[in-house]
Order: sequence, then C-alpha cells, then structure tokens
Amino acid sequence: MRGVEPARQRHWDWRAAANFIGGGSAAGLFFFAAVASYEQGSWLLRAAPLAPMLVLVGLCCVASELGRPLRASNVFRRWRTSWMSREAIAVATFLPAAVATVVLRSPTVAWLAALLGLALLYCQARMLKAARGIPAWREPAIVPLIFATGLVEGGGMFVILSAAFGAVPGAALLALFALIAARLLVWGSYQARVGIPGAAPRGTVAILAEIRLPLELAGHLLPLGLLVIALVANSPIAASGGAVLALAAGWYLKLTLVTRAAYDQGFAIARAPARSPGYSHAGAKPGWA
Amino acid sequence: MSRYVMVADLRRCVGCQTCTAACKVTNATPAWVEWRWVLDIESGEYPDVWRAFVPVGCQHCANPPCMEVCPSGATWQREDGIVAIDYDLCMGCSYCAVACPYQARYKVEKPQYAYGDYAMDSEVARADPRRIGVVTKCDFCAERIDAGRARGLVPGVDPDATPACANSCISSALAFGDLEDPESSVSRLLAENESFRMHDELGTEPGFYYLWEKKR
Repeated sequence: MRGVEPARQRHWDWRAAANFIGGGSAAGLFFFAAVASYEQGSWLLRAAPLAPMLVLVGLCCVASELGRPLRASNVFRRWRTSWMSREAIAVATFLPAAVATVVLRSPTVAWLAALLGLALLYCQARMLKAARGIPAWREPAIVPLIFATGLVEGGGMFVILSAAFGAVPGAALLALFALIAARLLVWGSYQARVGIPGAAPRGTVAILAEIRLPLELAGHLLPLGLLVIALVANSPIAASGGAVLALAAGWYLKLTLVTRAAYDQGFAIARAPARSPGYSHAGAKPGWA
Repeated sequence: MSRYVMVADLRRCVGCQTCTAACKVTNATPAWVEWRWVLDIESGEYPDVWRAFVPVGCQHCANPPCMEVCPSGATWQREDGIVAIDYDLCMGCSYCAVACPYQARYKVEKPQYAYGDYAMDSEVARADPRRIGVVTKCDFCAERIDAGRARGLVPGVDPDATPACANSCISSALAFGDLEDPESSVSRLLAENESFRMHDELGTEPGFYYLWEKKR
C-alpha cells in the first residue's frame, strides 16, 4: 500500500534536470556573448555554436524520458496555458536564431537570439512554478532563482571560455560577480520561504538544509572571493576558478531541486471523522512541519 | 449542465479496498496502477489516537493543474466536469503527473503483471497497448456514464451509469452524482453533513468531497 506522507517524485529524473541545466546555461551564455560582441565580436562566434549544442543535449536527455517520443511534436499544441509548450516554442525559435548568428555574424540577430534565450530561461522557471503537485517547485521564488542561476551558469561559462581563449573582459567579471551575489540573495529568500512551517514537506526542507552550507560557501562566497582576486590581480586562473565553482553550483542546485528536493504533496484531511459513538478530531497532514 | 462529483463519507469507509479492486477489474489497470485506492491514516497521541480510511484518486478538479500544464492537449475537461485523457495525443512527458497534487496519475513504460514476468490470461486479454508510454488516471468510468445516460439512466442512481468504485462500496461510503441537481444523493449528503475537499487551498476546486460529521 502506498504511503500517506509526501514522497520524492519519480516522474522526472536527472534527464529532466539536464534539460533545465542545458537550456539555462545556453541562455545565459548567449546573453553574455551577445553583450560582449559589441566590444569583441570573436567571443560571440565562439560562444554561439556552444549554446545551441547545450540546448540540444538537454533536449535529447528530456526526450529520452518521453513515453511516446514519436509524438513529440504535440508539445506545441497547448501554448495558451502550458509553459512546456511555450518553452518548446522558445527553443524552436532560439536554435535557428543562434545558427543564423553564426552564419550572418550580425549583432542584431545575436541580440534577437539572446532575447529568445532569455525567454527560454523564463519559460523553464515558470514550468517549475506551474507544477502545483511539488511544493518545492510551486514556491514563487523559484522563478527568480532559476532565472538567476541560468544567467550565472552562462556567465560562468563565458568567463571560462574567455580565460581559455584570451583575456577575460573586466565587465564580464563584474557582471558575473553581481549575478552570483543576486543568486545568493534569491536563494536565501527561496530557502526562507520554503522553510516556513506548512510551506513544504519535511523531506524537502531537510534536503535544502543539507545543501545550504556547501552551496553558499563553495558556490557563492568562494567564487565571489576569487572574482575579487581576479579583478584586483588580473588573474585568469582566479577568474576561471570562480566561474567553474559558480557554474557547478548552479548545475548542482538544479539537479537537487528537480530530483532530491522534489517531494510531492502527500495526502491530508482537514477533519478526522466522527464515528458513533465518538467525536471528530482535528485533521492531519503527515510529513509536513 | 451537470457537474459530476464523488462524495466519500469518512465515517462509513472501513478501508476494505473493494473500490480499489472494482476499479482494477473494471478498467483493467496494470499491476501497481490504482486509479482508486484507500489511504489508512493514523494520527493523534496516545491515548487520544484515531484512524481514518480515505478513498483517493483523481479529484476531477474544476481547475485542474494537470490540464493547465499539459503541452499536448491530451488532458481535457468535459462539460460535466470529468477530467479525461486522450491516449492518442499524450506523449508521456509526465508534466501532468508532477502538477497533480493528488498523485493520481501513472505512466507505465511496459506491460506490468501481478506475478512479475508471468501474465495471466485475463491480463493478456485485457491489455490495452494505447495505455503504454502515456499517462493514465481515473475518468469516473466516463464510458459507463455515457452509455448509461444514452439509455436514459441516471448517474449515481442507476448502477449501469455509475462508476464501479461507488457501485462496489460495501458500506455506501462512496456516493456519485450530479452536484447541479439539488435532489441528487451527493447534493443531499453535502447539505446534511460537514465536508471538506483535499488540498483545497491550492485552488484546484476538487470534485471529490469528504464528509466528516453531521451538520448540527
């Protein structure tokens, strides 16, 4: 017999998380590359092919979770209400725009693709929020959290690529610094809201508490420190180190949110029945704080 | 316009799972797939403890989160409030399953049998390949309701127009009917008793009511 308490959802696994990771990182990377293209056009062309590849890897992962992959084109049908349909439309427009950027080398097309990438990232964030069966996802703070972490991941990748192929633009380091700080704030807000009694099952709260220290120290404070060193000492190694940590933290956070922290709603009764002879009792919501 | 709902009287339910069995037999669901089942909830602190048996399954919400998120349009809502799935459209993405706060949805990737690899004749005979790789759930025995209504029968009154779970309930804990009809059994039960809907705070407006006490 199945349990009453919230259980970890088993419908979406690491492959779904890979889609959120690929799409978010690609959107952030392309945005950074498009901004940098005004000063250094070559960065755009280095980043432009990588972004659609990341999206495609994520798509391949999530497509392998479909029970009927040959019906995948049906994903576009419910665009009026479904954020998954809207995400699919964003992907279907972002990919050709990214390819056109490579072919045409046009900053205008690059900006269009970057905006479509941001739309893709926003759709992914709203997809999670719309899943009302998972308390950790339906929390409204998930939207800025997913959006911020996508930008951080992309910025981190951009800095890593920049360091690998030449100098890291100082403006990129400053932007990444600001985004990591913003993600730390949003993460704090998200965790505080999920931690309010009655906001999420105990299992979710426990998992988020478990990852809190490593995520904040290794994924935020240490990268921030390394970026300061990179800015002051002009050190590409420090810049890369900070970027790698910030990128890895984003991926780890998404993987945790989609898999381990994703407990379902469980069951509850508002009132226990009055049996005769007897009286009714207050209800029960097992598995919740 | 009808609005079909289920009413479960928690004072009457004894947790016998006859509704679970009736649903499985009627709908030929694979092993481990239970569109209707009964929870056994224990709570309280000694010596003031209590136990309740709570039938659950798809709540046929008026504002179904599963339908809102479904990207393919496979999940849809009939005019009578029943939430249904078009198994020919579903692509098995399971987005509806994570959106449902009632854990009412199942996806089966390959045939599942009660005895592992051994398939009983009945399981082979009634296997439905359309339900493999897609998400499935309770539909309040919609075909039975439609067939009954076509014959002039009344859902919730005539067994041939009533979901199998409600028909089979040994203690009359489950009642089915039209909420828009003030004379229906469900309307009368809700008028005479205190009730709640599960996870109502999520804005789903479930079509499944639980009775817990007589109105005073």
